[in-house]
Amino acid sequence: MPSVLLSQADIISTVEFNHTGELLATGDKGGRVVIFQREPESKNAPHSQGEYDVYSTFQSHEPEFDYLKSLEIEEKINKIKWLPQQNAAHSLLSTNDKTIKLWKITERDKRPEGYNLKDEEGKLKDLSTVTSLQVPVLKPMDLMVEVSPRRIFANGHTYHINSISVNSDCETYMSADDLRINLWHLAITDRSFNIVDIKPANMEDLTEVITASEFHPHHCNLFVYSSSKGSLRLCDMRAAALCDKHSKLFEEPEDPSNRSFFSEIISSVSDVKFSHSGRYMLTRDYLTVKVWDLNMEARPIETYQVHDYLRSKLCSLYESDCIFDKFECAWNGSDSVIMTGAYNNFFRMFDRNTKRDVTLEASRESSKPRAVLKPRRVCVGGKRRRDDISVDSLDFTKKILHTAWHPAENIIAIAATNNLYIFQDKVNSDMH
Amino acid sequence: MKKEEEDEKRDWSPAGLRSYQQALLRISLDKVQRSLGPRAPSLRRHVLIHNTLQQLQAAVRLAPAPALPPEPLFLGEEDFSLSTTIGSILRELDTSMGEMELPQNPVASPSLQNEMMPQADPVFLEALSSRYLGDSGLDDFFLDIDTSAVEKDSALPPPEPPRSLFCAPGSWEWNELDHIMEIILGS
Repeated sequence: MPSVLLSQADIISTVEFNHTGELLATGDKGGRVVIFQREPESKNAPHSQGEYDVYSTFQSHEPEFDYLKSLEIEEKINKIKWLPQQNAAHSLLSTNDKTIKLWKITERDKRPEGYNLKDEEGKLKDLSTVTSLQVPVLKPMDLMVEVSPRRIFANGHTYHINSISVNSDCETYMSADDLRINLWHLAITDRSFNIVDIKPANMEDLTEVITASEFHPHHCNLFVYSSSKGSLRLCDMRAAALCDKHSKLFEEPEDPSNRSFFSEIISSVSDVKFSHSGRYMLTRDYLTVKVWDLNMEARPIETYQVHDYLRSKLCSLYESDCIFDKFECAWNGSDSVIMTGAYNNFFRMFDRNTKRDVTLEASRESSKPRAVLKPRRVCVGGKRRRDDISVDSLDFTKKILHTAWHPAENIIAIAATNNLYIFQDKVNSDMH
Repeated sequence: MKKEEEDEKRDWSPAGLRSYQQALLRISLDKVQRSLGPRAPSLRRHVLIHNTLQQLQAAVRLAPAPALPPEPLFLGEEDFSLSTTIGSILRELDTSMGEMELPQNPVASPSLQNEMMPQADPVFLEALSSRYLGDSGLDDFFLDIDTSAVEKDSALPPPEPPRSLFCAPGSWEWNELDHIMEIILGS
């Protein structure tokens, strides 16, 4: 798997491919967005098989201070979502805890030359020297990528925004915070429509928050949101203006033999993603990833253990706050493989058809360009093979929270703290 | 607790269980206190910790109590309401978009905040103080505290140096707390 490794100054907080996979956007803790573009594959240089290079960098959000409440508002980019491309320009939404922004990215590769009134430097000509008229022509120039904020959707959220999702109608999008979900029109910034509100009348009765939400990829009236208690609610916007009553509630009954004080915390869903087909949902909680069929609410159809060896360490993970880490999950283009991150810069892939899984590592040492990634293994006592890592030597500060899969090809983007890894694979040969 | 903790070689006798629960309570309360800072706290984290605390309180109440004087501090729910703390944090998070009145935050003086006391929510302090200044007497108050969780528990990972929720009476911190309480109750 050839890999590209780039360093960024700040901790990466989100990673997202656009709809064709040509562009990859990352957001970081410092409020910056970096966009990478895939170079077209070239017969002249077969080794640079469509590698990603930096295309544009811009400051999306700045830190703010809410004087009324004496609270800092972080500039960290929580999520980026691309809009489907409708013309030559690209557009994306980026959000921090409070404010969503629509950015337009355009290219300029020509400029007009041959003005009558101005010279090449733009200074006005002495009119007496102008003896004939010419028509300015467009001449090629070095590519310039320009980014401008087209809309700022502010003051829509009291609580911290955790998700944004563009509707398949390409006109609206939703943003979700801990207690509410709002629907926006992409062209209108001064108002939004509240579609979910789980804030109790008495805040002291609050026991559950919204953790993630997403629109269905094909049905523009359907969306799902997940909760800190491990449930998923599928809502239909046609049914009611305020979608407080879900159309479907997806919840797995608790396993009584695994009950502990931490059961609720580890059941909290940190990410939910519809499959490309729209038939399934993928959820991530602290120890597992689960595949749900939209037609079956009673339980997931598949459950995969990400790092079950942590089950006996929950108390210390609670104390260190690691138990609150929010890992994301991803489908591959054909919905046959799912991926999620873990600790020690490990990430895991599960093949739904063969039921095989693999653990891989994103690190400088193990990822030389064009090297093949070696499967890793965590041993939990008992027999230990040579390259195994023991549970006790896992580095919990090295967490892979954000991962993304190219919409069509086997290219994955892995954010490991402040480094971005892009792995490309022609053949799925690493599953064991 | 169940089999998941067996790797940590925990003592599951009633006293061991109690001490484990006390330690979890202490860790949880510490977390709540620590999350009050210049950045708005994560609501999800608060709610999860709060729910865990409620479970712990329920479990400790159900468990047979060894020979101890009246209820330990953390379980006197009527006096000590973590719900109130969460509630006050949540109220402060509401903007002035017509949702809620913002309560005055009396512990706003920077000099006070830099003292030994962690920057604690005023309602939280008030809840604590109702025990401090209650009728039970300060000696009884200290009898209630099960120090075995703090002193002898070696099965748990070493805790952070405890940000003490209680101060020895007559100490410098005690006088500061008293001073703070006067401000709160007087405002």
